[in-house]
Amino acid sequence: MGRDAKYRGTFGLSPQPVAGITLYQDRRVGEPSIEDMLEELEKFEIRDARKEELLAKVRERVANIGGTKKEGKVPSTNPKRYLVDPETGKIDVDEEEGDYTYKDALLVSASIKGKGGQIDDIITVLNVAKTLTQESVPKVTEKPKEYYVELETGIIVHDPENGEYTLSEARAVSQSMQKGTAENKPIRIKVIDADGAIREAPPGEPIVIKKETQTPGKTFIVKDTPDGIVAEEHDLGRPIIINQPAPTSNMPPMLPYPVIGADGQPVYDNDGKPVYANLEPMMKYMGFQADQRRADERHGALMGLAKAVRENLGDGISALKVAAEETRKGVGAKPSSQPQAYLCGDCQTQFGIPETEKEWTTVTCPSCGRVYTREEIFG
Amino acid sequence: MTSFMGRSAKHFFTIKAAREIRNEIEKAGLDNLKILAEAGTSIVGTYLQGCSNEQKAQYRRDLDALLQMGVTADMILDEMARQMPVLSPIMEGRESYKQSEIEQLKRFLAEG
Repeated sequence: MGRDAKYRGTFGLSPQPVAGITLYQDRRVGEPSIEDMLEELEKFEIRDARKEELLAKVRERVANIGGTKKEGKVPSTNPKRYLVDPETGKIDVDEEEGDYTYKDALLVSASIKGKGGQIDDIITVLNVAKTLTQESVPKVTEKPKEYYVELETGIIVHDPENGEYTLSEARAVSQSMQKGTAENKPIRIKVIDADGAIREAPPGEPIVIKKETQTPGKTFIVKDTPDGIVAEEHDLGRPIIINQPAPTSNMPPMLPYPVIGADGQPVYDNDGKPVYANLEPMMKYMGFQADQRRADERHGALMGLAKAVRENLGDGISALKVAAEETRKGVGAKPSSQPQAYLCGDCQTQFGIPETEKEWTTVTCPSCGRVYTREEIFG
Repeated sequence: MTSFMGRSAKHFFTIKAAREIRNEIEKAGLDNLKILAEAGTSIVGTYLQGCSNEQKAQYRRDLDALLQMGVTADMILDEMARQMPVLSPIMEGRESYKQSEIEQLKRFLAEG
């Protein structure tokens, strides 16, 4: 199957070989494509050595691309009028000693900044390289230099008469200045000290925050002494000993009982003062014994009462027996009225009152003969 | 119309109650009861009067349960007379003695 010789269509570049013809642009067989390298770079697990290798390849490729693009173009002004600081990646313009074109400078600057391990910057570099490898590179047209950049602030100023850069150049320079100043500018930390004053923290030195300890006030202990209430200052760190009063009892703490010797006289000490004995422990012991005795007696009384109640509990059978016994005894039996006996106050003899139908007035004691009237007998 | 089981239970409890009373009578002595009956003293009243409150409450519960089952005091006394034939002349010796004892029991139940 032969090819049509009259074909007039446009040619397109393919990353893969077509019909045995190698049409790779800036690429040898076996090398990975830029897309592959981008994918590989996007992986965070990529090793640094591999990164460097890829970056080197990218730079080489970019340099080749730059060389091919420059061929056949004779710009009116020096297109390589840009310098890139190899350390900071800052872009400067030098008409005579410039090394890079504007895009090359951008690439190199981005690659230098990307060495810091920022993968985003690397990806930016690669994206730029990718755009450069494509055929859709815009044509560079020289634009009027109507802008300049203020060196101190990096602000782009539009000045058609005294401008030094085109707008894109001015932007690049401004960005590089701002980035450089931002990186080189030390971070200023302001600290509010204990007095409320705002001051700048010294660079490179740690900020020490001192916690202000409050000095505690003095502690006084009020003591009730025989001389009155006394307040004493207490030293911090020393324990406060509280003398707890003895449990209150009805008895005084000490019973001043004078000690009597064998001769019946009070005992005196060497100073001639009488000796007193403390009987409180003995009194407490005796009180304890009395309490115990009372408790035992109460317990015994309760037990006896319970026994009596248990013995005297109601029982129907015994009630029947008692009732039958009473009935048996009560049949025909009439209780005889016993005469009331009285005791004689003189001879202690008992005597009775005569049972007569006639009302008596006096009674005579049969033993001593004392006569008692009716009023005396019945009160 | 009660069932066969109901009638059997009623009969059984009547016999059981009469046996309990017979045990008490034997403890008290038949002669004593005879003396009380001849003197006209209520045996039931005397017996209940001698009981403690706990015993009274227990007897009251038991008698109430028997009445709810349809066992009356008359039935129990008849059963007692059947179990102790010597009681019959005592209970029948005085007129209306048996009836007064039944009234005594009813009053006792009404008190609770």
